[in-house]
Formats: sequence, C-alpha cells, structure tokens
Amino acid sequence: MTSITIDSVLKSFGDVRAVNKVSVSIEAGELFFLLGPSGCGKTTLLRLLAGFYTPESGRILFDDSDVSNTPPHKRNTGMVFQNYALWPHMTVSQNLAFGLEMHKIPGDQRDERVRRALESVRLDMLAERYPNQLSGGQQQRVALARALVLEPGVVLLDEPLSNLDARLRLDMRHEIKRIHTETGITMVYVTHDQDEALSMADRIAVMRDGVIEQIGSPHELYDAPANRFVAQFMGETNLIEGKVVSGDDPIVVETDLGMFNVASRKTTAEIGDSVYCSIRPEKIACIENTTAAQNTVAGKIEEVFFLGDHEQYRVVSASGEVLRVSNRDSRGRVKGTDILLGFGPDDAVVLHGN
Amino acid sequence: MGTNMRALDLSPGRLAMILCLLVFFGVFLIYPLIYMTANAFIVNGKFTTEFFRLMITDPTQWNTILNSVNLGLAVTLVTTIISLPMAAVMARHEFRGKALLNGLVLVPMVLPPFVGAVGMRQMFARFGSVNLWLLDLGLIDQPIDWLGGGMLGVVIMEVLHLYPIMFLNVTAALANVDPSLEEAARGVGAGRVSLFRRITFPLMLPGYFAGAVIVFIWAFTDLGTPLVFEYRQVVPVQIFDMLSDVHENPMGYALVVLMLVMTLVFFGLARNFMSGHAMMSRGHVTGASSPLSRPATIATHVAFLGITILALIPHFSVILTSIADRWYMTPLPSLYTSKYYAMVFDHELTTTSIRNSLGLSAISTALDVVIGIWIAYLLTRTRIPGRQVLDSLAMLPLAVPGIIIAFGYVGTFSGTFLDARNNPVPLLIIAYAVRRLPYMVRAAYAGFQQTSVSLEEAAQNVGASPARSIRRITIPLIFANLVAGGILCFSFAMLEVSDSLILAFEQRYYPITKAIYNLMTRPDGPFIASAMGVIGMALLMAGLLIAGRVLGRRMGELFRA
Repeated sequence: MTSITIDSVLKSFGDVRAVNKVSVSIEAGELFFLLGPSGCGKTTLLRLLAGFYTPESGRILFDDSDVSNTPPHKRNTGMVFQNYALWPHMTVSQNLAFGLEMHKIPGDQRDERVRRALESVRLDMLAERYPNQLSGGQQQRVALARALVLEPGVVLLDEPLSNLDARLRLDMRHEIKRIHTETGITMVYVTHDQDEALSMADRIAVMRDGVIEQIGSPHELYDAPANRFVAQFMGETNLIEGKVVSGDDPIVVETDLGMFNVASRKTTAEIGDSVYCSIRPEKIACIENTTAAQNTVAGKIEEVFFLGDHEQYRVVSASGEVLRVSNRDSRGRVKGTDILLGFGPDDAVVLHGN
Repeated sequence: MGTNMRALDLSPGRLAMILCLLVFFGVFLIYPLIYMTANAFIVNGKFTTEFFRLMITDPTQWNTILNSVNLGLAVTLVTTIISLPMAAVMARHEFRGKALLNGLVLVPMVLPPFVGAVGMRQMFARFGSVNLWLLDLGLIDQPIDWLGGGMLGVVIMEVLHLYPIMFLNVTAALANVDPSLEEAARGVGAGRVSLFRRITFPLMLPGYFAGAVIVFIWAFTDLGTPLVFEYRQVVPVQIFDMLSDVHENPMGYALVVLMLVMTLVFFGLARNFMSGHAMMSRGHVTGASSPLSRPATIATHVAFLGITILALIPHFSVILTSIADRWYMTPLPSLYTSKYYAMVFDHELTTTSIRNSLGLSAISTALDVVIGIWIAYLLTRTRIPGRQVLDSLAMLPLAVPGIIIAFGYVGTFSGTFLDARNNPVPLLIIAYAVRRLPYMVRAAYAGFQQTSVSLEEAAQNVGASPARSIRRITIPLIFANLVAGGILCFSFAMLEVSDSLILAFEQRYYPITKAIYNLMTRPDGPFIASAMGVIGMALLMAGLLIAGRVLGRRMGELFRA
C-alpha cells in the first residue's frame, strides 16, 4: 500500500495547461476517483502518476520518495488502459507473465502468481486464449489481472469500463470494488461517469480545465457541492438565481420564485451577495398545503417523464421558471395539473454566483 | 537540465540515434551530392560554368541531352496511353477476375529491363526470331530493323517495364477522386466526355503527375537498358563512360548535376502539386464502382492479357535464350539444352557473382531493417526536433537515381579507405541500402502507426524499458511489415543495375548484374546471361509474391510517389 502526494503539479501541452498546479493527497489503500468532463485534465494527471508524462513543475511522491522524474518502468504502478492494451500476440497468461519476467521473477513462482491473479478475476480457465478470443468483459478482467499480478503499490485505472455495455459495466463495478476491498491496494480511477464515481469511490476529486474544483466523499460532493459546476456535474439539480437578504442561519435568499430559507452549513454568503440555490429534484416534495416549515413554490406540470421506479415532472412556476421534480410516491399525475412544491432549508444549498 | 530536454523529448539514447542517422545520411547521401556539385563548378580552384555551357554549345553533348529527354518523354507518353484506360476500368468498375488482372499488371516488374533487353536483342535482331517468322510467313521480304537507331528498342523495353508503375499511380489518383464530385457534375448535366475533361482529369492530375514524374525520371536515368542496346548517346551512358577519367574531365560531374537538378525539380513539383490538391479531393471513397457488362468484361480481359503478353515478350525471350542450344536463322531454337544453367553454377564469374549478390543484398537488407525501424520509431513515437528533416532524408533516395549515388561514391571516396577501386563491398552495401531504404521506412512506419502506443505503454508500466517494449511488443506485432519491406529491399538489391555496374571494378567483386553485363561480350555470353537472368527473375518473383502475401493490398502503396 502506497500513499500518493501530488504537490502543485503543472503539465501543459502547447499553450494549454492540462494540469494546472494541482495538489492532492491520496491515502494508502484509498479508492480515489478523478472525475470530470473530457478535456478536464484527469487522464493527464493519471498519466503523470504512471510516468508517461513528467511534470514541468511540482512533485509527485509515492509514500516519501519523489518519483517525479522516475520513468514508467521503474514506478511500480499497475495501469488499466481504456482500450485494455492487451498484447495481441501473447496469450492471457503470457500477458500476465510478461511483467513478472521483466522483474526477473523465477519461472515457477511466475506460473503460480499468474494462476492466482487469474483466479482472483475468475478467468483461470481462459489462460491459454489470445485476447481476440475473449469478450470485452473478459478482456477487461485480463487487463485488471495484469495490473494486479505485480502487486504494485498503486493501481491506475483510465476509464476502465467505458468500452463495456451498460449491464456489464454494473457487474464490473462490483468486481473492481471487491478486488479493492480484498487487496487493499491504493487505486486511482479516472472516469467521466458520475454514477460510477458516486457508487464506488472513497473520495472523489472533481476536475475542470486542469484544476480540482472539489475533493470529498461522494456524500459531501452530492449534498454539499462547492460550486455550480460541481452541483451540476454530480447528478441533476435545479439552480435558482437569487440575492442574500439575511445572512444568519438559515440564510434567506430572495428569488423570482419567492423568499427561500436555506441552512447555512459552511457557506460564507453575506447580505447582498448574488447566489444560486441548488435543489436536487428528489429533494422537492409534492405537497397539499403551504407550511411555515417549508419553502413552497406553486406551478403547473408541463411534462411528465415516466422512469419506472419514479416519475419526473417539468414544472413551470407562475413567474415562468422551470423546475425538475422527482416523485417516488403518489404517482400518476398528468400533464397540465396545478401542483404545489415544497422543500426544507436543509434540502437546498447556497452556491456562489461564479 | 531536465526540463528543456524533456520538453523536446530528447533522451541520451534518442539523441545518439538521431545523431547516428544524420551522420549516415550526411556522409552517404548529402556529402556525395555536394561533392559532385562542387566539382562540376570548381575546376582547379576556380569557379566555372564552362561545362554547363558546353552541354549546349557542343552538338554532341546537346544531342545526348535531347536524346535522353526525348526518351523520357516518349516512355511517359506511351505508358500514359496504355495505363489510363486500364486504370479507368479498374478504379470505376467491378467485374469477374478483377483481382487476377490487378495482380497480372504487376508481373512485368519482376524483370529488370536491362536483363529483358538481352532477350529482346535475340528476338528482334536483324535475323532474330520475329523477322524470320515474318519472312517465313511471306509478310515481308526484307528483314525489318526493329531496333534501328537504338532508341526504339530502349523505349519499348522501358515502356513494357514501367507501365505498371504508371498504372498504380493513375489508379490511386482515380480512386482518390471522390465519386460524389463526379455525381454532382452528372447532376448538373455534364456528359461523359466533359465529365472526364472538366472534373475527373483535373482532380486526378496531381496523382497522375506524380506517376509521370517517376516514369520520366526512371527512363531518363536508366543505365542498363541503353547499354545493352548499345544506344550510347544518352546521359546515363555518357556518365558511365566518363567514370574512368572523372578526375581529369569534370564533364561527368556536370552531367550528374544536371540530372540531379532535373530529378529534384520534378519530384519537388510533383510533391507540391500533390499536397495542394490531394486533400481537397480526398473524401470518403465508397461504393463508387459500377458493374461491367459481359462483353465489356471480356474486352477488358482481352486488353489486359494482350498487354501483359506483350510485356512478357522480353521475359519469354530471356527464358528461350537461356535454353537454346542451336538458334541460327530459325524463328525458334532448333535444339534445346540446360547446359547454360549448368554453366551458371560452375563458371567462376557467375558463381562468384551470385554469392556476392546474395551476401551484399542480405547485409544491405539487414542495414535497411535496422535503420528503417529507427527512423519509423523516431517519426511515430517521439516529438524530437529534426524529425521532418529525417523524414525527408529517408525519402530522398526515391528522387536520387542510382547512377548519381554510385557516381558520387566513386568520386567522393576515391583515395579513402572506402575507395571502391580497392574493395567495393562497403560502398555497394551502403548504396543498395540507401537506395531501398524508403521502402523499408514506409513499411516500418505503417506498422508503427497501426500499432497502438498504449501497447508499449502497458509494457513500460509492468517494468519493460522503452527499448525493451519496442523489442518485445511492437516489433513482433509489425513483423509482417518488416519481413515484407525486407523482402522488397533484398529482391531489388539483387537486381540493382547502375550502382553494381559502376562500383564493382574487379571481377571477384562483381554482383549478378555486372556479371551479366560482362558476359555480353562473350560469344556464348547472352545464353549464360539469360540463364542468370531467369534465376534472378525467379528470385525477384518469389520475393514479390511473398511480400505481396504478407502485405496484402498495401503492396501497391510502396511503389507510389
């Protein structure tokens, strides 16, 4: 198990700062996610960890040793590539044995470790197949086993599930999570899929334009996003523009939909600030009567989306604002119905305008 | 240090590689060219353009140049007339046996025109087979002087050898014309003729021009064919003859410079022309071909077969000559024998030359493979400065005729430890290697490009050094490309004409081609030479077949501009 310290690392391509002075500490044994849209620098950061790029400035530490300038083949990381990068001219077991050979592990031990690694991903019966004889999911497992067989200090996963179909992707999430639990290896996992990150991660770093917007547990990111970008990127949300009129707890925000009370949490909003209230669709309830404990909005259902276990409504308020509402109970409302919506101070988050 | 070096992608190993390559090209490609240019202009320490003025004022010189230009133009014209309709049918239509005909077109290339000329002389001589036939049939009563003046024979020989190259280029040019552009023209009412004249031809012109340049330069610089036909009033033969007194008479250098300037200008023009147009007309080329009717299919087959048979006449004559025991005043030999094959294998001149050629070609091929991999690696896997220079240097031999390289070596390295008069082996190997390097670089480059970098990264990730990941992962994966490229290099090196004729002075160093040339002066020479030619032909054919197997459809790409 290895801890990773990324200390104000800078890497640019031409004029673009792909990774712009990023600092993160990843604890030993953590399953850490780098999440963001394409071009945000997450893969560049992962490749910096693998050694395929070297930082222009800043340092990368594995435990206490500076590996910033260590070439890839001396880094002791195991990488799972997006396209798997299995060597097509080698069988599954040769793919796994290659790294052991490079590390001069004697033959009999080599065979034993290959066997164990293949067992751990449940592929021992396919050892003598060639990669092109395997399904996508099996190739994915081989790639994983190849990264694990050297028992590296860090496993790096670059969008490992993006080439699989939806069903298989869910299975592989469990698989990777299980392997992480069993081995306890530090893993850094790059993805643009927030569901993947939310469901698997110990902690997530959300990246945009080469910088980290927020680091936290899935709960923290979802319930207490630090800014509009994170709020919107981590699942669906309603963003309502407003102005702070009272700065105490709860904060009072004046919006086109009315005055909202919002729990202050750690927000540093002062009176007069332009802010956004972020309210997740599933935090909004469909209610019968106005109550003092809740913020309420009246509107009309403009569209109904049936999604199996719940329904989503597009509600237009009297002032013309559009809200998305998820409803799990008392379903069956139809288009055109008048509706009263309510949410508590704890259900909303105040975000700064920028 | 560090930051700058890393930003430029320079590791000490890569730096060493690129320096080695630059030194190699510098010494064996650029310096000889500079040396010859300098010697053409600076005589006895004084700058002079005297020898270039002589080219125009001296009627003999001027005539020689005119002859060569005319030869080039004639060959280009005739190959165009043959290839254009063939390519149009191939590129735009589907029919039975298309793949077969496509392969058939390449067959004539397996014989260097120089060897074919030996057989042609036998067939078309004053009392050769063709005239005797015609006399027998009573169609003529006086033998026709087919090879009269010499030029005609050379043109025929070179056309029959070079039309496949023209065909490949024109077909490629046509295939790159987006059919939707033609459909659009049809849509606005263009008829068949105006469609070709106004749309298709202008769009394919760059590609055609590139093919025409290759053919023209080839014919213009070919040494072997005119030599065998004893048509000496052309530039390459003049250069060859001036070899012996090159230190006294700089005219040879001046002619080489003229030839070099012409080839570089033409290739440069072709390249600019290509890059200007090519991208525009290159769309997604799909489903363009229409089926051919039955009569048209038959006509196509007849035409292709007819041309191929014509093109194979030299090959047949060589084979026939090699087994003719008595062949005097009869259309076909009256007695057959295999004794010339036996003589090939126990005659000292021939056995030595076969051994020499095999050895020289093998070593030069090995050199090509190593250099080709290096260059392809640097071009595809790194961003080090000077990559473009390296690319141009590696492709330059395509534009520099063999006769220029060989002539340059003789002049440049005379009196050094590499002097070809003492021992031509090193320079022969290097000349062969330099000449065929572009094929190898292209083959390896294609391989590297088709192989995902992440396969190498995955190897480095599990502990293989960069060099090791290339050796263990990439090279096995692109092995087919390397083998195909290597076979091409080897086959062509075996039958390399101009450098072999020029660089090998002593009999014990003769490669096959020089031995064949040498045999021509002996009474039974043409027969033994033909037997050797047949062996060479078989070797080259086997090589091309294997390379074609391995490379598949990509084979043709290696012969395009």
